Amino acid sequence: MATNAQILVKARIGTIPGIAWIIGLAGILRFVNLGQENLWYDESFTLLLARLPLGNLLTAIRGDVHPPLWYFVEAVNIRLFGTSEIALRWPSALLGCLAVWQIYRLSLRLGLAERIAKTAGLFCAILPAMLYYSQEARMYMLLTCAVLWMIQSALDERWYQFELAGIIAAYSQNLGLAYVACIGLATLILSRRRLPAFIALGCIGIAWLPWAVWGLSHQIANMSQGFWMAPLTLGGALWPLTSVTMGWRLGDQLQLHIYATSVALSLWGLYRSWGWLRSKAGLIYLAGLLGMPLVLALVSVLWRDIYLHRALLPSAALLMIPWAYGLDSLGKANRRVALVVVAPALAIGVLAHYFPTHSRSDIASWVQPVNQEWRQGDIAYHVAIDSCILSQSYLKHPYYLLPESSDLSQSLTDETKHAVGFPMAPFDSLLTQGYQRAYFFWIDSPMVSQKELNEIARIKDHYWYKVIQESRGQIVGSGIWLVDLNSKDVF
Amino acid sequence: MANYPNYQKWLDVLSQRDAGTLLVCLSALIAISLLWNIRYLAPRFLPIARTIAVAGYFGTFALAILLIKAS
Repeated sequence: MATNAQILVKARIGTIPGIAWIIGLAGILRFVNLGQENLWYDESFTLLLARLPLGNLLTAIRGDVHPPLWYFVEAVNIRLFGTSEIALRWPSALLGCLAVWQIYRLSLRLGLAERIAKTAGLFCAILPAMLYYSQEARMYMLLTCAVLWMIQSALDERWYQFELAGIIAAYSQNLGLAYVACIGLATLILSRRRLPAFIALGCIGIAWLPWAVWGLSHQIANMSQGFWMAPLTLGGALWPLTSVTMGWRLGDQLQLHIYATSVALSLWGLYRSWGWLRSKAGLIYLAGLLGMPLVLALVSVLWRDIYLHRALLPSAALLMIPWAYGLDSLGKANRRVALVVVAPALAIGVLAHYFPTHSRSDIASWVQPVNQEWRQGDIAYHVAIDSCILSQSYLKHPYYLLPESSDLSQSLTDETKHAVGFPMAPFDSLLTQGYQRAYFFWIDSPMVSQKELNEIARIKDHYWYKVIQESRGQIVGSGIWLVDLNSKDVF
Repeated sequence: MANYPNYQKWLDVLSQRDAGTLLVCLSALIAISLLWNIRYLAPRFLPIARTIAVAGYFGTFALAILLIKAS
């Protein structure tokens, strides 16, 4: 027989709203293994910049391809909580939980039933791509939350919030401006009160202007010398429909069916949602959902390739509402059949996130032999910028970087390299600086220049070395050689 | 681009990915259209069509796993 206390606890648990359980689940899924994987290139780059004093940070950001907001967030964050993987990623994880709440609220604001709003929130909580970006020390969850907030405040006609959300979106990712433009334009056309909407958009524009003049114009000039994005194809344009929903950590044998489920659910959900999508609120929502991919595709066709799939994460979060609506609109028998397909597909997607085929590289293990065998007179040497940045948090010893190293994306300009303070020297000068052995880090990837490949070949031909690590994949090879600096041309 | 001799390899991988995405989208579109049309044109066949769709989904799923593992 239950005691009074037990009855009271049960009653209290019963009063917790369903969405709280879903947000709790989102929190568990995001925080459970937050620090398990090593930082990958972009995250290490975030840490590298966040560590800089303000003056150098601003110069480095100007030479990068992103606006400053996320780097400022992380700069404050690491000074408070340190530089571990968990410390760097927790803001994204928290924002990932917030996004679940936002999707739930937005569904209700669109006039959908409570159970549909909860289902949309649940999809948002477990969607593999949302899990991935909630565990990444980059700006995409911040962008997602800002976009969702912008739509919600446009529908509620809360213009100060609309302005703030728009400014955060534009300052967290340069492509966030396209979201601001799409949602702003739809709000301006469809809102009952156009003047406050117009003033709010004007305020966002004025707040964005300093960055446009000082930073973005400079970044566009830098990027025009690179090949960051691949040319857009029809398949490439549709790819985010699979990758930004079910993620890209699935094994090859699972991809066709899991991705097809995601596409089918999206097509069905959008088709069934057509009724409420035609309302004024629905069209403002639609501007956020479909406006961004259309703008990116259009700009890619007419001007230059800017179709970055990660930037479509807010659209993927918004897509969870039609997913939930599409399932809810089915009859009992059809819904049961749909769940038989959708539930395992999502479960496999979630499992693939935690036990991935394509995971972030285990850099700590990769550089462990170097850390273990290091002795006085040793130096590390990076021929490419990739290994230099990737090993920042894990290699505990001094290093040099090839001065001519560059990257295909032009995301690390000379300006950024100098602001960061990379120590740079030609390989042959190491001996004259008093070093006896060099751990030579090399990468052979599509992002590596001919000059860097020539340097790898030169070291191979002219020095004696011992292989410490070496691996070769389909298009990327990498290795660490221990080079005897006294052995140049002696054999 | 001449300074990056391996860039083409990356584009080749991306073109395979894009072709795969088109295949996925086409498969999903055909499956949804078939079920939708059966529902309206021949509703009495809907239960059997549903069963075939689910069996086909999991059957080809198992086949894909086996084939790719074997290769």
